[in-house]
Amino acid sequence: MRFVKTLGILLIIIAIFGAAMFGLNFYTGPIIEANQAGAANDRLNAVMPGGSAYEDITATLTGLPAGVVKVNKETSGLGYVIETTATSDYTGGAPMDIVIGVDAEGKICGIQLVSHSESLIFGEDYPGTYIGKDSALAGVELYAGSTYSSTAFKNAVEEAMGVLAANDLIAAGVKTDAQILAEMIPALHTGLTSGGMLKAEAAAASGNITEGYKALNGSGYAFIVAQGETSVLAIVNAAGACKVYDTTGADVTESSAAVVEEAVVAAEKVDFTSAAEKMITDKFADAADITPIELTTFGNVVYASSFISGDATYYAFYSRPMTYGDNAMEICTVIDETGAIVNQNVKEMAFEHGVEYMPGIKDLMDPSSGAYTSYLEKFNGITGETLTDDVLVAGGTVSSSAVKLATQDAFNAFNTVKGGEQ
Amino acid sequence: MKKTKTSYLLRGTPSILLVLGAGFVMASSADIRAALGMGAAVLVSMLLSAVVVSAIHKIIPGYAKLPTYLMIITGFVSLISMLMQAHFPIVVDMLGVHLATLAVSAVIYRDCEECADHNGEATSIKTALVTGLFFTVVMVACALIREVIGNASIWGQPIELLQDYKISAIAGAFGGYLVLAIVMAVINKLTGLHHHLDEKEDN
Amino acid sequence: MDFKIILGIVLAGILSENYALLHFLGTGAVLENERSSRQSLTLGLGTTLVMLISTLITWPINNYLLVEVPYLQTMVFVFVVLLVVEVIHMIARKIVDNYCHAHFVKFAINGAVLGLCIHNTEADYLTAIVTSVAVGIGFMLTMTLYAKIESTVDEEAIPAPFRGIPIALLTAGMIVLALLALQFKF
Repeated sequence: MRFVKTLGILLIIIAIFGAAMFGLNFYTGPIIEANQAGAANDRLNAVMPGGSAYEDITATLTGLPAGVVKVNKETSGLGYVIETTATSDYTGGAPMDIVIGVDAEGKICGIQLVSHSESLIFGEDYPGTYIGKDSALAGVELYAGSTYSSTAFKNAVEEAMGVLAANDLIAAGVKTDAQILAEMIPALHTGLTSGGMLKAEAAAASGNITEGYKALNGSGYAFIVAQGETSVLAIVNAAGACKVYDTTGADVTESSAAVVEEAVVAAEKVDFTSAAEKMITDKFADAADITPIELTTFGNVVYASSFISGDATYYAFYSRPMTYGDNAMEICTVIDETGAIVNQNVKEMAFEHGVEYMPGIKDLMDPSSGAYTSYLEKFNGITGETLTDDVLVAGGTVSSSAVKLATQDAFNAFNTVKGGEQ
Repeated sequence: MKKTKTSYLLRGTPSILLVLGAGFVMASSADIRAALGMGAAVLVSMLLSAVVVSAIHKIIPGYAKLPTYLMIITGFVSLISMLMQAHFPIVVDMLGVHLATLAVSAVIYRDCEECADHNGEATSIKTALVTGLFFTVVMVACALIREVIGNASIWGQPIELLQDYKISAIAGAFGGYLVLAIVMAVINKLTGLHHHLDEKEDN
Repeated sequence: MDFKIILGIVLAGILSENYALLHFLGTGAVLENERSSRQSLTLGLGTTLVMLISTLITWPINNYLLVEVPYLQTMVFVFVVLLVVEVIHMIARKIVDNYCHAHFVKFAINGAVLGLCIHNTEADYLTAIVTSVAVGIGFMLTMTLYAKIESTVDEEAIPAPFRGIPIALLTAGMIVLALLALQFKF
C-alpha cells in the first residue's frame, strides 16, 4: 500500500516536472540546436573567411569519390566547403580528415588537416601551399620526406576540387603544359616512380629544358623541354635511349631529333654492369658469354644481358625499384628462352642501410629465413602473362609492390629483346 | 538572520556536506567557468528544492519522503541543465555527466532533509543560500588555483608568462584532491571550524 | 565477445577508469563511508547489483523511448534507479538474515550509479552490461579499501586544520596517485 502511494506521489511529481520540461524545451530546444550547428560551423568557418551559414548539398552532386564526406555551400554565395578524407598506403590506419574551403572563383581559400593517424606526416605549413590554387593545383608540390601522406593529401584535394568542377559549381582550373607532362611520367617511365608517385630529384634546367627529373635509383631522367610555344616530355633510360611525347601523350620522337639530342646530353649515364654481373654469377656460377643488351624500355631495369649456363641461354634483367625511405632495392630477374622466370634474386639494399621495417617484410628480407627463400621461389615459372598480385606480401605491401613492378619492367624489356630478334 | 547563519555554520553542516559533494566539487574545479556554472546550478537547484520541500513537507508521509524529495531535486536539476545547455554550452560540455548526477547528490538531498523538512520557507531559503554560496566559494577558490597552476590559464585565456611552468597534475584528478584538501584546511584554520569538529561528532 | 575485451573493461572499471576516485562519481559515498569491511562489502555488492539492473533497464529506455525527448533522460533514469533500489531493499529485507542496512537506499542512489547509466547509453548493450558489473566491483573495492585505510589514520598526529575532511581527501588522493600510475598520465 505504502509502495503504491509513494509511486503515486512520484508519478505526480514526474508529470509536473515532465510538463515543465516539455514546455521549457520549446524555448531551449531551438537554442541548443543552433548551438550544436554553430559548433559544427566552426570547423567550416575556419577555412571559409567570412562564412556563416551552410547548406549541405552533398546529395545533389554526381560522381562523388569515396573519400568525400560532405559538400557544404555557403548560403550567402561565398563558396563551398568540402569535408573529405584521404588514406595513404603508409599506415593504412584511420584516414586523414581534411576540410577545404573553395571561394566562388574556384580558388582554395582555406584548407585544414583536422586529424590524421599517419606515422610520418608533412609539416604544418604544407596545407597552406594549396591556398589560392584552382582545381588544377598548379605549382603544388609534394612534401619531401613524407611523399606518401602528401600524395594522398594532394590526391584527395584534387578529387574534391574535381567534384565541384564536374558539377559545374566552379570553373575547372587549366593545367599548364608542364603539369600535364609531369603527370604523364609515372605511366611512361616507371623507373621514376614508386606506387604511382614520382620518386625523383630535380635535375638542373639548361637550354630548352625547363624542368628536369632525375630518378633516385639511377634508372634515367625525364625532362620537360620547351619547343616553340608548347612543351614536350623527353624520357631517357639508363642506357641513354630517349623518347619524346607531346601533351596529348603521342610519341613524337621521330620529329624531335633536337630534343632527343639535348635530353641525351643532359642525362648522366650510370654503369651498373659490375653489380649486375655479380648478381648473375652469384646464382649461376658457370655463366658464360655474358653479353649486354641495349635497353630500349623505360622502367626500373637498368641493365640487361644474355648469358649461357649449361646448354641454355638465359636473359638477366637487373632492376632497382624504389622502396621505403627513398632507398633502391637490387633485383636480378633471370628469364629463359620461353619467357618464364628461372631465378629471382632480391637484394634489399635498404635493409642493409639499417632502415626499420614493418615486421612482415623484415622477416621476409632476411636471407637466412625460410620466408625469404619461399617468397623468391614463388616467382619461378611466372611469365609476363601470369604475373599477378599473388606475389604481394601482406605487411610489406610497399616493398613487394616494388618487386612486382620491377618484375613487370623486366618482362617488358624481355619482350622487346625477343621482339627484336624475330 | 545573523543568528541562524552563524549557528548553522558553526554546526559545521556545510563542511560535512562538503564530503558528500566532494565529487562534483573536484570534478568542476579544474576551470573557473565550470566552477561558477556548477556553483550556480547547485545554489539554484538547492534553493528551489528547499522552497518546494518546505512547502509540501507536511503533506508527504514519512516513508515517501526520500523518493519524493529526490524526484523534486531531479526535476529542478534537469530544468536548470536545460537552461544551461541553451545559454552556457561550453560550461555544460566541461561538466558533462556531473551536472546530471547533481540530481542524486547527497548534498542537496541532505539539505532538504535536514533543514527544509523541518522548517518554513524563510529558514530553508537562508540555509540553502548559505550552503550554496559556501560550495560556490570553495569551488571557485579551488578552480582559481587549479586553472592557474595546472593549466596556466584563467577563464580559458592562456597566461603567456606561465606557459612553461604549468604543473598539469594539479589540473588532473590528484590535483582535485590535493587542492580541495588544502583549501579546506585553510578554511578550517581561518574560521576555527575544526574546534567544533568534536562537538559535531557527538550530535 | 572476446575474453580480452571483457578483461580490459573489468580492469578499467576497477583501476584505470575508477568511477569513485578518478571520475568523481559517487566520491561522496566513498569518502563518507566509515563502515566495517564486511558492511562495506555488502553495501558495495548491493550497489553493483543496482548498477547492473539499472543499466539493463535504462539502456533500452534511452535508446528506444527517449530518442525524441532526450531532456527527460535524467529524470527517467533517477526514477528507474529509485525503483530498482527500493525493490532490492524490500527483497533483501525479507530474504537476508540480519540485513541491517537502513542506509542502503540512501547509499545506493549515488552519482556513480546515475553517471554509469548515462555513460553506458553510448556503448552497445553487451559492453554496457559488462561495464556496469566492472564499475560496480571497482566501486565496492574502492569503498572497502578506503574505509580500511581511513580507519588507520591517527587523527591526533595530524595538524588541527587538516583533521576531518582534508585528511580524508588526502588519503583518497594517495589511492588516486596509485591508480593514476596505471593510467600512464598524471
